[in-house]
Amino acid sequence: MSEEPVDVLIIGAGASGAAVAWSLTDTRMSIVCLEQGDWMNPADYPSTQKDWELRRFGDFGLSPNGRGRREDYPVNDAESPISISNFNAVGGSTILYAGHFPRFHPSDFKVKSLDGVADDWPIDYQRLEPYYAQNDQMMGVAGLAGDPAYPPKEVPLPPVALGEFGHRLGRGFNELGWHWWPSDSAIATQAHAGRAPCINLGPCLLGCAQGAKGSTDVTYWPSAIRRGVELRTRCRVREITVDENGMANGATYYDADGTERHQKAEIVIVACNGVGTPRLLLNSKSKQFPDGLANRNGLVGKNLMFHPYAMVNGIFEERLDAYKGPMGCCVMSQEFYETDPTRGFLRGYSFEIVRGMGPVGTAVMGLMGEKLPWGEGHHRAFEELFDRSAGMVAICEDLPEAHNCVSLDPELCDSDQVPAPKINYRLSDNSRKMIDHAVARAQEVLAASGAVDTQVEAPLGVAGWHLMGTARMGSDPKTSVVNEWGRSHDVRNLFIVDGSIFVTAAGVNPTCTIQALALYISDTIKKNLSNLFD
Amino acid sequence: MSEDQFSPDARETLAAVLDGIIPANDAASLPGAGSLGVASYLETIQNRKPELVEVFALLINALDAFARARDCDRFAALPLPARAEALQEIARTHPGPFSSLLFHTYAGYYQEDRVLEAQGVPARAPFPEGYEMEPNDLSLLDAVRQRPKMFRE
Repeated sequence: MSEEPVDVLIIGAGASGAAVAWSLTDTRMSIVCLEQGDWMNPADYPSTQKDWELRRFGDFGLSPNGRGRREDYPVNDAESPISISNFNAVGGSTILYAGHFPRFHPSDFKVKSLDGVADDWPIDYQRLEPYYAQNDQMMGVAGLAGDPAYPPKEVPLPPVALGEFGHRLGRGFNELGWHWWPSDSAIATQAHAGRAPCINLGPCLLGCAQGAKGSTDVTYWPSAIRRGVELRTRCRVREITVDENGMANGATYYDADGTERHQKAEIVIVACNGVGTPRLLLNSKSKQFPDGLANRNGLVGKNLMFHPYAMVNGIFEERLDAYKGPMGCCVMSQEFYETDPTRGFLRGYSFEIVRGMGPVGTAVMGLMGEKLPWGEGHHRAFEELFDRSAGMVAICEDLPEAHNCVSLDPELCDSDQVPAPKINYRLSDNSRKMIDHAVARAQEVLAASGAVDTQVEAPLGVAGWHLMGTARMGSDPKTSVVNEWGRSHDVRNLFIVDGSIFVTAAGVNPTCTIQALALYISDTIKKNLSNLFD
Repeated sequence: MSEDQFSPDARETLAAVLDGIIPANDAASLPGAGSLGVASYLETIQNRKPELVEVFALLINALDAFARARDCDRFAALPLPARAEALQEIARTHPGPFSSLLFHTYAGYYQEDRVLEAQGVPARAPFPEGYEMEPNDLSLLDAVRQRPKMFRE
């Protein structure tokens, strides 16, 4: 069964799909977006219940493999020290992200020129700057202007609450003379564009019941739909189809009832993240593209980058009030961001402050970490842990390596029998050295902040939430999958707008750069409509 | 009585087990997990996760069997040192089920209103009230503001 052809078909309704859909409504083209997940109901989010911390072990877990939701697809990440974290719904992984919203730096686009590794991007910070600013308004970004780690920029909303722990860490950074700054966060600290202000619920990573966090179901999508975009949920795309000339002509998908359908389109835009996008392209095989769509050079799925994380928790003697306030984005430090070869590695990392857990989280995580015994001694151990433990993560820049990749698993499938992605990934020596450096520095600043002990997990196994590089951008069709404005080198009406087009990963959370890129690509499409396929 | 509810005997055993896992907290004037009624929470959980019915029953039966082997008709009738010994034994011989019991006992206990209040935490879900937080003291950033630009062009 085929539906009426549309001008634009967008696959994926997450961070980038929402932004590109909203932006393209200026053109008055007919736009359909297919999303395998459904709308989330904020009234069902965990923070509305006392057992909120337990939901991370169930339907709000980070890994799609353990959630048991029909909307998810399984991922074989057994061959990776870092497991995949994502979410499938309208809003995609922005439903579960912390809302951390730092931009890339100018140097992040010139890695090869400045540091002799990886590749330069075909675009630069200045090119993206207006789209960063536009996106900050749409997502409702809180922060503070004047950060010496960045070129001057405006921030729409005041910073999130630092809280007792954020202030304490700020003093610790000051004692060492290190940089720190209130983080840019997609969290409405004041009423913004119809969104209620943050009330410091805490569990941003479990969905925001208040609607203050900028997930795209509450930012871009309401406006995009009002402006005419048709968003079809619970529609899982199996493959993008091509015509006899090798141009994309639509996609075959399964609707909510499992019925196979085909949507014809003049332009196809893929927005499925750094794992979902190569999975879809590799599964889109045809006579013209026997190795997968847009994959004539074999680069689709290659160069997978995560951000290797190091987590260092401090144990303090005083209470920290650390279960209150946005979980992961009050303070950031970029003291070790830019390359310093004397450190023994290239590129760098950011520190991000992570608050502590509530009583249930403290108890069950203490149990699993063998820090909280049962029987005699239980209460003393709990007293030492609860609200006295909080810390930081180092988000380390990964570099592209072809052997780190996404492929199709030969056996594992989703509930519609579409092959699942398989991850092969190993940490580079550069990343290991960076992690070691970060752990030592984190321990220093936690000690300066009053911690009496620290606990380390590095690399953080659950931290595969930034998925980048698997359909990289570049000017040369031999070494890249899409050109400098996101168009496939092989298929001139196929665009990719998610993190898979990143050339390098930087040492910051990628969402605001993913969305700025999506807006930039959309704008370039709009400017080139008359000769888009030339 | 449905199979996902504990019988009176099982409930008695379970209450004693839970008191052994999380004993009374005299400093906070709190009873142990069993006396606080965490068994009711476990009933709720096994309602949601039927696979736990068998897990909890296995442990209860094993602990009562331990008691009978010491000429006592049930676990709850054992003196406290023997109960602790029994729990150690079961933790060793049934590590998977016992870990599951620990997880759910901890989870239930730390959702109890009295326990939360003793920890100085409001006995409610975070939403919709949220939490007040102290105002930001951005004067702490004065030294950082004085730094020259840190980024490379």
